[in-house]
Amino acid sequence: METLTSSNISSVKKWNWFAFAAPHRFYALTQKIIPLCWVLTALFGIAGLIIGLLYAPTDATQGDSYRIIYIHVPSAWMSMLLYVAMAFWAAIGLAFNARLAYRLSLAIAPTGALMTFIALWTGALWGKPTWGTWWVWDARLTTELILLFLYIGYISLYQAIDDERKAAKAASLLAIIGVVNVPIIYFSVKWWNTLHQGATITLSKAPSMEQSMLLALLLMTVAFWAYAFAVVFTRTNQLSLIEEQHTDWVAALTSSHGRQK
Amino acid sequence: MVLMMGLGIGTPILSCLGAMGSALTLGLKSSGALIALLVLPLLIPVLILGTLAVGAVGSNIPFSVYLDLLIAFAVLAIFFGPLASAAGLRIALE
Repeated sequence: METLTSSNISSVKKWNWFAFAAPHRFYALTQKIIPLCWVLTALFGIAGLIIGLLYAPTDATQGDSYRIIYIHVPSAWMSMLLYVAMAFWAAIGLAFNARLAYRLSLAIAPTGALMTFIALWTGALWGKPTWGTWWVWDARLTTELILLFLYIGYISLYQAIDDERKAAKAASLLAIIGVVNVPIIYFSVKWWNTLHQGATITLSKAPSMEQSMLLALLLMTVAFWAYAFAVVFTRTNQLSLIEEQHTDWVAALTSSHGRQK
Repeated sequence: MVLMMGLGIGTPILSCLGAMGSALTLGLKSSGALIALLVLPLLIPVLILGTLAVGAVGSNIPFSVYLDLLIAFAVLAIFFGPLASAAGLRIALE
């Protein structure tokens, strides 16, 4: 496997944006990146949790219950970001008819759905002590729930169509249609006056929160990013291996692992 | 009156979204349940805006903002809906 890897990468002399669109090169590259991502996930996750749970001060109004923010906010960010990434790769797939782009988009969907679910679930757990209710039909909560349905719809549409290429195309179209929902979620707290608080952290002004809280939140966000990369790349490679199991590079790979059928 | 206006603006949006849903699920065995799953998330905002407009009249607050948003949705849906449906049909028929 190592010889395959190095020869493939060195053969790309000029930097070519499409070089890693070939599944075997992508596989070779990401197999090196995935362990790094897991290490980053563990390091940043542990650091973030230690700072967030042990060192960050208790919130003046919410007490210690606010600490679920270190899971809630990164997962909510990731849920929206992953949807945009999924729709982006779906669009690339449709535009260039690229297999790997479809696979990336398909690989992102379950992780995105998981993040959406975590965001909704931790939101409910946080809502109970602070708002006194698990759920309200508030703009942000409802749109986040819609996002979960969009992810599920995308996955089920892909599963429902037998022909793989057709399924990837139809699901990609759905992903692109659904992307209109993301800005609605993001701005929902600004557009509607709701129970959910507005964004504390924005790009345009200095965040209005304590330093160590912010640090922990950012560390957790990096950990979630690294986790998403690791899982998405792993899933993409699995899809590549399954769909291209009769090609030479997969055969070379399996024989070098000593598991040839 | 507002109800009729809301329905008038909302119905084309619902039709466009429904057309996209049925184009995407064309030729599938279990399209009924799937179409609901696909289209429902997109329909919810339209229904919410419509009910908010009617609710606003009931409680004597300005309602035009909801109808404006609904019109914005309608413009988007009428422009992009047929394009998306056509793309969906092309995928289904190829």
